[in-house]
Amino acid sequence: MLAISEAAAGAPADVCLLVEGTYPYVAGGVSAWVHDIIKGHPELRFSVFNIGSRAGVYGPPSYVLPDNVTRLHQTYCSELETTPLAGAARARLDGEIRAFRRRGRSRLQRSRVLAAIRRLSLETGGGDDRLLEDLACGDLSVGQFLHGRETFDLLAEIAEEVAPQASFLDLFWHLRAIYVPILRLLPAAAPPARCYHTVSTGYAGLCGAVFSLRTGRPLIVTEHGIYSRERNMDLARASWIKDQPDAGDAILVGAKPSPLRDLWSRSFRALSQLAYRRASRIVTLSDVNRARQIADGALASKISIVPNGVDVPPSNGGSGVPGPPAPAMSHGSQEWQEWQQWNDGRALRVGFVGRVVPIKDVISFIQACNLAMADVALDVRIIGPTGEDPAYVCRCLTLVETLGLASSVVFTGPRPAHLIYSDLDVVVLTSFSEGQPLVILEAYAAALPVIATDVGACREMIEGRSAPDRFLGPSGVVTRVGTAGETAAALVRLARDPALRRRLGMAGRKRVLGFYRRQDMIDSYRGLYRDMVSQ
Amino acid sequence: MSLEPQATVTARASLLPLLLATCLDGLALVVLVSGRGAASSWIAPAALHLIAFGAAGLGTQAGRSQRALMAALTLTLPLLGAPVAMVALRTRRRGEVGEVLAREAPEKRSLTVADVRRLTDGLSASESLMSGSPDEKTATVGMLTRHPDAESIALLRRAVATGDADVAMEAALALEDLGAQLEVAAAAAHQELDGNPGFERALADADMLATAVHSGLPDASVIARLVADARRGYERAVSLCPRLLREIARRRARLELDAQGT
Repeated sequence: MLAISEAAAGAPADVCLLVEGTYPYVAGGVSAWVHDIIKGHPELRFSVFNIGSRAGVYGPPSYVLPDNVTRLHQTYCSELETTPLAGAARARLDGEIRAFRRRGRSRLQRSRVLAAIRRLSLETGGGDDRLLEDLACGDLSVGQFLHGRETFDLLAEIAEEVAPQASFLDLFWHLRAIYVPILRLLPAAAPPARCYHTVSTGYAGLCGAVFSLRTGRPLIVTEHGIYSRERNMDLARASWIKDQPDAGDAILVGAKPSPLRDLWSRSFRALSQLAYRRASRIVTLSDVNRARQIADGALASKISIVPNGVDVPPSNGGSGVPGPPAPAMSHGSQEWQEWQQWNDGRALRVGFVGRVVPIKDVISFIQACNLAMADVALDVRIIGPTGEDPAYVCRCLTLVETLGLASSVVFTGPRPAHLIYSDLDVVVLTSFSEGQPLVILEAYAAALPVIATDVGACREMIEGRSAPDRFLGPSGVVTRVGTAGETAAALVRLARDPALRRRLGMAGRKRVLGFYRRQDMIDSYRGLYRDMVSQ
Repeated sequence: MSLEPQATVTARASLLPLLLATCLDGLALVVLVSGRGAASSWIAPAALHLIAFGAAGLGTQAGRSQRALMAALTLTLPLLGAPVAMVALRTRRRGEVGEVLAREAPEKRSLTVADVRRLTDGLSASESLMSGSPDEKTATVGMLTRHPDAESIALLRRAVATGDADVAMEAALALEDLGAQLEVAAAAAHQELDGNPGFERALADADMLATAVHSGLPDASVIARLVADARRGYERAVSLCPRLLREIARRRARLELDAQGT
């Protein structure tokens, strides 16, 4: 455990935020949200419980912890990488293993954690309070799990029941990889807090549920992306899970989920269900996510939707300075005519704002711009950090070069938000996966229309969620993922129709003012924290 | 359209008949020497040599021409004929080029009972993507990704275009992964072709690129580059082994047709 500040270490925090490998080490996304939440509640004392994979993976913190953070707890769930032992060290380990078996035999037969692991592996019902209680008692160490005879018997049972055709050795390594992180986390002491707030399910959700059970303090679960679904997507693409050989011609027969992938998937779903079950309140960002949580076993009555929010700067309406369309302009006015003239004959300024990584599908964005440039002039900026995946950045640069777009597509690197949007006409998002992107809200705040793929909450952010929201009309165009053609068509349409751009941009600004204000989000959590802390 | 090449060499013949023939000829020599030139002593060795000739021609795994070669050599060169035949049939590099082509033929696995059950019980991949459970859809996308031939790519593209939002996203991600893998492989092939590789490498690179073009995976913007590199590979392969011009020309023709189609 690493204490950043010992100022108030003795007193319990009001809220213990549990995060998985993000805050304060990784910039953006959930980390930015956590930082915002902490800063938005200066009257509350927070502690942060960060679950990392292994020591040394993370660099220095990306955020300076606000003064109201009393403590940063750091724990790791992955095994340390060790070299195989030989000679005397190996003999000593063998001796320890034999001792484990002798000591553990009688105790392991009654191990509640092992019983819980059995249920997690073999049952699909989602568990009950007993399951969490069994896990929370923490009566099984990693050593006992890895070397106990009862574990081996359980492994044989799981192999017989779940994956009779899979390699036994593979099954062993998969079960080890699934459960060792859990066993490493279960003994962690609960940080003293009046309530626990986990910012995802998964391992953080499990720790939150266990801490809540042990201390009797309430648990809040906030999910931006749906953890079990995101892990399922990772699992579907994972090449390290061996599948049964497919029939000769793949096209003939659809696939059933492989037992090993299914085992992983079931374990992640079970972790989500444990957190949902223990949580007093579950918060998510959108109706889409809410539906997924319910499908994963969350009680609908516990779920509330608190969208992300941004600060909305005052409009530049009436300033007379050409720039983004101002809400105050009325059709036919002098400002309107100036604005029309300003638009005539110039390239549409298109911005992609985000990290240059595969999940953002920058490749499709570049292809879309290439297609659109056959019909209209575009001035394209890709605004965001390029250091995370150099190989992907290289692919994007090569594509830009191959397509001969080097003069019109510029990678600007990251820029402060207030400098980004005043220089754009349209913001495009081609991501494969999103929760509720702040980029869209920031674009709306600047009265810019958005073209975004139909992922996460993007559709309801563009077309409206509730009836009053939908009444405002669309504030952009929704396209299918991975379809550069649709994005290009939307770009051409917006480039040719400045009035449409203005209409969409104004709807976006009204939308963000009405439904996505940062202060509203902070106030919602303030009420939630007040209820939980006072319990 | 299959890229499966015609096998240009048959399975390698077993050497057992030739070993047997050599032993019989050796025995005949022993009998001949121990007979000390008596007229009757020629009969047994002659009989043994004839048996060796018959044995050499009996290689059941060998092709007709190989059996004829073994028998002829054994008959005309007593004792030495069979070892010469062995050397002739086992000479390395003799069939190297043909073997390269043959090796590339995808291994056809016969259906197992489990496969048949899947064929009869399960939905087709297309149906599974459209109407399977979420887990089945995800598993089918994964399976198509592991078999990225033209049909799989077409199905993934169809899922992107017409599937529900979740399956469209998974299929789009799968296509992105495959595209990234292809770009890495294509860049490596480009570099290898710049370095004037040997026949095997040039042909393998050209085939890999041609298969990618055929699959419909690469975007139109990069097809021209891939086709140009594949052409270079085939030209290099032909220059190194002109006698395979016909086979390589067939593959090149497929490449050109695919390139026109895109």
